[in-house]
Amino acid sequence: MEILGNLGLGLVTAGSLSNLLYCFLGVFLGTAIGVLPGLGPTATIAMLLPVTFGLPSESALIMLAGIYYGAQYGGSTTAILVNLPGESSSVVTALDGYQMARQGKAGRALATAAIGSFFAGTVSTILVALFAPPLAELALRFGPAEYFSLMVLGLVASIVLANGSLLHAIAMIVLGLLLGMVGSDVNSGTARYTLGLPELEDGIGFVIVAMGAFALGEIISNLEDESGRSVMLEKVTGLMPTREDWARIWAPILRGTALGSLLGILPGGGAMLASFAAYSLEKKVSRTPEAFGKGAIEGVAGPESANNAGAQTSFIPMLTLGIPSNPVMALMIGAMVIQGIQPGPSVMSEQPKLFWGIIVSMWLGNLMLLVLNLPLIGLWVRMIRVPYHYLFPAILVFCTIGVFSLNNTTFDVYLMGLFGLLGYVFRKLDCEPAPMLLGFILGPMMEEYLRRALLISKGDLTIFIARPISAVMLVLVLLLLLTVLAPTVRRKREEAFQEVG
Amino acid sequence: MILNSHNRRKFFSISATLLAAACGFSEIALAQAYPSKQITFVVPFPPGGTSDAMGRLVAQELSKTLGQSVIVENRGGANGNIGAAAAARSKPDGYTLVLSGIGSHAINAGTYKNMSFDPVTDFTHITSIASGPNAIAVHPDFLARTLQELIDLARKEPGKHNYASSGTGSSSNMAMELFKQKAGLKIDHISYRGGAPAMTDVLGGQVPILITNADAILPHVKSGKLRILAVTGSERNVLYPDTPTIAEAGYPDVVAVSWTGLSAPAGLPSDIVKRLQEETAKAVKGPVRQRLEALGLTPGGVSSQDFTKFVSGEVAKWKAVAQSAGITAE
Amino acid sequence: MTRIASPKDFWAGILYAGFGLAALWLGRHYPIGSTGRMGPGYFPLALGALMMLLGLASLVRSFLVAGSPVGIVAWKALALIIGANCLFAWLLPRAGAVIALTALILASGAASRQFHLGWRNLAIALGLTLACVLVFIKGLGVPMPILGSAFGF
Repeated sequence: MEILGNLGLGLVTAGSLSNLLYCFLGVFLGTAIGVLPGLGPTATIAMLLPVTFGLPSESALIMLAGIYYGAQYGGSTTAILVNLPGESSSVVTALDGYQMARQGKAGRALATAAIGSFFAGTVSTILVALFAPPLAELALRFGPAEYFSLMVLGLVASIVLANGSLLHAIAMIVLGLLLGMVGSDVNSGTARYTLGLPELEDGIGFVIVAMGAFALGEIISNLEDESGRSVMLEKVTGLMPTREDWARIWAPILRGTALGSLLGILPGGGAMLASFAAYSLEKKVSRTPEAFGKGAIEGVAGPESANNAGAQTSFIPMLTLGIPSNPVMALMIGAMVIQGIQPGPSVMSEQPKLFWGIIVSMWLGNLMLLVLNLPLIGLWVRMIRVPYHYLFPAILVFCTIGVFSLNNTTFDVYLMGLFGLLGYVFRKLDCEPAPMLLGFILGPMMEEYLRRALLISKGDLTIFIARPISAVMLVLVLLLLLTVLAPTVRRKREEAFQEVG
Repeated sequence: MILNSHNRRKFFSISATLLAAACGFSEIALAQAYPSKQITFVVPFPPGGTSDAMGRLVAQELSKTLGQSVIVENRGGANGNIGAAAAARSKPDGYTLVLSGIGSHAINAGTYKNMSFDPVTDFTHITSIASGPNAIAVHPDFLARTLQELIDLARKEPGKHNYASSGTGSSSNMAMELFKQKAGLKIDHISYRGGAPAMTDVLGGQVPILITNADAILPHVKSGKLRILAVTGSERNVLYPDTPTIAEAGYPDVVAVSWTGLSAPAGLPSDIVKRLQEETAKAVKGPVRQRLEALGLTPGGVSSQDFTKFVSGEVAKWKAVAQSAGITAE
Repeated sequence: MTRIASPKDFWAGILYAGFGLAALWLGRHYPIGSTGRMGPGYFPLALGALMMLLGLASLVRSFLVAGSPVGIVAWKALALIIGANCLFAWLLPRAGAVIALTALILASGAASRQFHLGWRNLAIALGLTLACVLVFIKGLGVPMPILGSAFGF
């Protein structure tokens, strides 16, 4: 019954007029910056940080949290409408969402994303409220060995992401891993592949690669053949999911929510995997995996739910242990510190108003997002009917400003140009950028965890199978590899026989 | 509206500056008008960390007392080198300031092979802002209950134990290496991307020993999830009045504090230095003091000469540690 | 010489092998260490070698398995879009955001066949520029100069 009292306290805090207003302001701003390509929540929160100095701590954090999950909502909008993933999580949303948009189903894709996100947000907020402390303890069981095995599992699962040939999928993942090596090595501090440029010492920003490879590449290839070109090929069919859509999306939403909630708890990069993992899972369990990448609504519903669930549960390590799982969380911890609150296990007992206020506001914020976003869908759909020759320079403008704002340097804008060139070349050669981006995200983490695990074990390789969680994941890797490779090998043999015959 | 009033203001300030220059006003006259426009305060780290918070707290106070907005510009990268280098290259007119710190203005000079700036001669060091110690803590299941027990254990089993720090060449890594050198210990270093992931692994028992900013571990020390053994300052820290310093344990040379300060490109006119030094000292000893102390930090505010001397001393000190520990960043 | 059956695989193979070689060459001085104690070179060099092998595999396949041609390359769009992007980066510190953004919009817009330099497009470009300056520089405080160093700031 204690939980009811706590939630009551949270409701009183989050439900006060001023806090409702800050929550709305947060989710509204978040949606706006999420929709604008390039400009992410990290940059926005950083710029708004000084504004929050004057606010009460609850209001400040409620607003900042709102910006964070609001941006997750907004990010999927741009991914679906113009194939522009501004966040690592919306890369996979772009795969099928954009195809749906081109088939005139943009409204249904956006609504599916919003509804899936809302459901996932509700469930995961309840999880946070009920089980935050024990879940945080669980997260601490994950050491470098477990994370390494998780990353391997993620990489193998990502082979499923690609539609084309297995060879290209693997090659693009390896290329992503290689690009991820740029920057100074955590263990030794050696600068690798930086070509002597200090700007590259912290590695290449994800947004730069994503904007270049996706947005610029997409724009150039759209301009190849302009006859009657606009983003939308077909007439718009409905803004809400049809009855048949509902039948297809409820299960992916449930699976995505479960997977995302679990991965989000892990502060060492779990939430980043959530949407990729959900997509791979949906494609794996689908009876029509060949429809993925061509506008399968399941490919929007699953990842979007997982993404939002992960975004909510990633608050668990932050609120209960003071451990940030991503740069946005680090900023929020910074905001707490400036407010004179030391983030950590004491927040729950010493600042119950803040703790429960944030949790309740997360649900209220999700509700606001749903109410805010469903009516906006009509507007968005109309927006992409703007003739393409007006739309693409605007996209480019937002990309460059967004990329500049990452580190306030034009170096990153030049770098985006380079990745735009590469992105176009990949497109011409049927090399898909999505697996590359996953490799790019996972590469540095994988190496870091692998080397750290071996340093801790003093070079003993058995650490990966001696630890049960890690061992289970490695077994899953083997099983997955078998299911991925077996059909290909069989097909290859059949082809060979046919050629002979 | 906003644009109009702002532009008008800007226009006036520009014309005033032009007029002043045209009439051949002396440096003093210009400085009396200082600051006549917005000041950029380069923080050479991404937003969110302690350094960023320092910068913003001071910027906020300076905006009030100088009567011009002081805008924080985050120029992160390469342990602070990118932002510091950019600041070193700008005009010494008082409109570009930089948050100097132990990394960009001391340790990096010893760990990076090719620095594009000299942390002492390329800057006017105005005043110190704050400094705070690192703390050595262990997982509660670890055998050592005191610093002496840790020393004994590490001597008995050299190379068996690991410690986690917030990164290769970070102030915590350097402090621990200094301690290891003076005490003759062999404890292996496990490097992390920042203090938070290092703390996570020590909380989870993956690595037994942690060295990081003293304030970050306070809640975990209170709740018993970490056991603090020592702080690295010259005196005990307000947050941990019962925890001894390493110096007290018999190693008086092992004093390592993370510090931040206010600096500008070399050649800043002395009256501007004086003005900024006074206002910053007032801020860190006045309105900002409480917030600094809540983080276990000691407010600065020393004179420009003293701060410059301190910075050159730090450069020499950490260069020696980096060389004998074999730490290089590039 | 054998004919290339799949040009896409061929060029992709060249690209992969090129990246692999570059990774091996640039990383040739990084200490490798051992499996138990990996140096900074271990992981990248292993990846570089793998990348090269995958490139070779793609090259071999391009001679064996038939595939589709690369197709037309939009050289003009490619040059204009990437060029406009770099022009913006070059102009921003020098001429400031107003000029850099207008140049970006007009130069990239020229990549479209529907583009023509008239008062209408100019007005749209200036309007968008102004909106961006208001929202991003004034509103969100992105530290971009409105007018750059060429104007004496």
